[in-house]
Amino acid sequence: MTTVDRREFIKSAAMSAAVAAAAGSTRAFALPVLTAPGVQWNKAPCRFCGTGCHVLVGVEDGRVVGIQGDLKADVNKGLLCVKGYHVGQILYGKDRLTTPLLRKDGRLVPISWEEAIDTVARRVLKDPKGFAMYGSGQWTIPEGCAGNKFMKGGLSSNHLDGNPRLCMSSAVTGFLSTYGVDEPAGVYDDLDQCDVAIMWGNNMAEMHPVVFSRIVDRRSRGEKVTIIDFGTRRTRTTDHADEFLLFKPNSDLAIANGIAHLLVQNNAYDKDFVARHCNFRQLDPEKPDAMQGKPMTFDEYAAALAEYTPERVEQISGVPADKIRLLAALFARRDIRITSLWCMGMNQHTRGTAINCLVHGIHLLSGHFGKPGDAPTSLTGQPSACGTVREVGTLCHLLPGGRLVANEDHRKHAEGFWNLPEGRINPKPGYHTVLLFEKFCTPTDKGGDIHTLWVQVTNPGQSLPNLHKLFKAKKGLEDKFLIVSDVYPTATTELADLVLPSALWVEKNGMYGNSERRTQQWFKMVDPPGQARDDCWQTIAVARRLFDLGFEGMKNKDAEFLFTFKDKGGKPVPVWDWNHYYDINVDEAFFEEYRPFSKLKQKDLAPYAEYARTRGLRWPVVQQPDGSWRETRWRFSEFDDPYVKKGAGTQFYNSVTKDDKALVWFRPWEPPPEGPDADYPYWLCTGRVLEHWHTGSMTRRVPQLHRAMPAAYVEISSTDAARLGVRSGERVALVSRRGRLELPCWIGGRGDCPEGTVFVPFFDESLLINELTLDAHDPFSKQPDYKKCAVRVERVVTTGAAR
Amino acid sequence: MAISGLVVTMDDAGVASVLAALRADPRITLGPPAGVRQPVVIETAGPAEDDAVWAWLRSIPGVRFVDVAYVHFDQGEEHDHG
Repeated sequence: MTTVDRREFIKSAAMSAAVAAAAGSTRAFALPVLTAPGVQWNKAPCRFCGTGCHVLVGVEDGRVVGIQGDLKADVNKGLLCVKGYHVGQILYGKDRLTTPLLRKDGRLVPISWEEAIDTVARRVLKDPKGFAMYGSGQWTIPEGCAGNKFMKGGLSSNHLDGNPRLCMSSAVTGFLSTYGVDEPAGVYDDLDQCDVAIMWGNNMAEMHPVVFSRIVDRRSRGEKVTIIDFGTRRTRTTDHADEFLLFKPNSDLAIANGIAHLLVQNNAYDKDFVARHCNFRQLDPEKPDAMQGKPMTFDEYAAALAEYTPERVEQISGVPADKIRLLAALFARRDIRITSLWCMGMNQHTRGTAINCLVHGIHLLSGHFGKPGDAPTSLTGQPSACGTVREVGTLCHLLPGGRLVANEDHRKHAEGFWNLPEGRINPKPGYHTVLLFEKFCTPTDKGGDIHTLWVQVTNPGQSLPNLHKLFKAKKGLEDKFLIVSDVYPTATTELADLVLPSALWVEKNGMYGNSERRTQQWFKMVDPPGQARDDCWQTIAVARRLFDLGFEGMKNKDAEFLFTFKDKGGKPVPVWDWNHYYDINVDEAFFEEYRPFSKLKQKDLAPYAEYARTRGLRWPVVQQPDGSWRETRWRFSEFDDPYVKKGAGTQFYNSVTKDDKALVWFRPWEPPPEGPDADYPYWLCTGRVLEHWHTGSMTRRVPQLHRAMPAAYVEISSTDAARLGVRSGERVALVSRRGRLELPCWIGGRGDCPEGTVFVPFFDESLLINELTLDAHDPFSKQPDYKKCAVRVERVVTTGAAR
Repeated sequence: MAISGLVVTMDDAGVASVLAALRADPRITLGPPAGVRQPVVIETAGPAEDDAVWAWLRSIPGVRFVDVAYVHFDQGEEHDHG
């Protein structure tokens, strides 16, 4: 290809992208691909969000040189968002971590891997009970398997939690409370068939643009899809909405109860579905911390809802009573299909479990469940929050396959599958994320009983709430030791005592599980830089060092090393030795060890090889008489789910009440733990932007994305800005009870806050908004509320940089 | 060489003046507009000039914001983290 041809081709691609983005404004598009001889293309899921788009990765001379949307992928059908198109460049930031670093005399200095692994092992030996691990929804499934087995099966410690605690654990408790089992019943196919899509505090246009395009693109084909956007601020999603319902922060429970009330009062609920498939439940006032609650009758349920009249809901939420009636009328219709979608808005909430339960309840009450297009569906923010954390069970109370450490039978099952001596797994749940960091950042003599914390594949120094308390307080605590495995320097490595350089994405084999129960696989395509190595290997190497030092927990029931893997001839392979790590496919070995767990709650997984040849499969994946493997799209529905009894229609076979019924909950609206007052008169909401993924540690290394959104800002209404006397680009200080931060204003930008609310994205490590946020959390899910705290806004009298 | 595919979003009242400014710059190619969203391609000698054009776009009265859809730099352009 000549230079001119190439330039014209690139210009054409750039224009295609811009036209698609401008016309659809969904920020998802397909581009032509510049192909060249010698480039090898292989499949992989995108490294970023929980959508699970597949990309094709072009490799030449050991380097990723191209990315294209994968036309064979059901999820994205060749489309990608702007982050997806640039995902290959996350490998090539110039400050990649390439050698282990140990803090000596206050400075991080290079050391050997041998010293690094030995250092971690010695920290375990100091006191295994005080050693904790903090993982990630970006862990691959095998990495999660390794961490889980190392901690729970090796150290007999459940002090393993992960960052999905911060993003979707309320969705988990919502599913468990309602259906007795985690994860959505529906799939993305619902978006192709729904008549109404309701966004519950969910800016899907920016956060999940490719999935959102599945809805919006239907309109361009002449289909009618009504989009209803519930929000506390206008966003890019609002641009596409038929109805935008602005509600006061924390009032969503009142709205949901108002809809349920009208369905009952108007006798418009689905009586047949309710009679056959639902029980009713409320919290037990004598045991308010018990997630199981206590039964209630339908009449008691109706009576509890009675106070949520449209007028009362309007008073609480600010949503006009007529709009509440409109929503109830939509749910009352049997001739349309309704899909509800939510993400952080409902989950990062001190009442997260409750609002999740209420939205499920509206769908069950109205019978909008289990038919294509009729689904309550949560979305995840990380690529394997579902696969690695919810399914593998890398939270402090879980075992693989949706099992609990506190349940004796579940422990016995796990000990059997892992070939452990009986009683090895500790029955006591470990510390959840907020408590874990609190214990780590508290002096030992004051009850801080976590002395060492190993963080893999996440950046809590930026993403935790109330950072001064939960992270920065570690500084100066001489007996605390922070280990961080990562690919770039981050806000977390700033306080690390030991930094371990990790391989990233296609520099290693991997498996993810996306938001719609789809398990995905990829193979290593390029080498990691310098001495960077797989996180999975790091865990195994530490385990082996402990084994060599005589640590009993690193032996299985047969006194073999806990992570003994054999080649096809049955000969053990020393995978703890990096030179032999890729002698076998360690991912496959972990996955096949994990697979039996998946059948315990009907989350069946296929053999590894099936995932290697497909663009993912949605569980339960059940083998057919002809030997093939069939995925399941709609769970609990007879027409698609093989576990539903013939003739049942719908069957909630993991039912909490053991009668194949789901639970419709009553949960009252309550005031928030912190709200605006005279001293702190604004609501602060935090969140994400299209160009950056989470804490920006990868996307801020991609020049195109960094330049498109170089720094955080505070979005403020024009009315409030006028009152404060500030214009776009001028700086203001946000002050909460926990911290202070100066930022430039953005007025009338992408989003639009109502008066009294400000919004700040959290991607910018130089402007840590989480120094201000609240660590109050949901009592069941333990998920903090990043969406609502009180701040004041002060004008800063300097000449600040504009956007 | 740097080539960017961008979407310029304009205020309703500023569409005509913004478009006139864009058309007057030979480095900018305009695509078919979608309401107040104008797709453009910028072609410049390198990232520094591309940055300057980008900054200028954002400073034009009537431009609400500039979104990136696609950017190409030639190999060898390294990036200083934020």
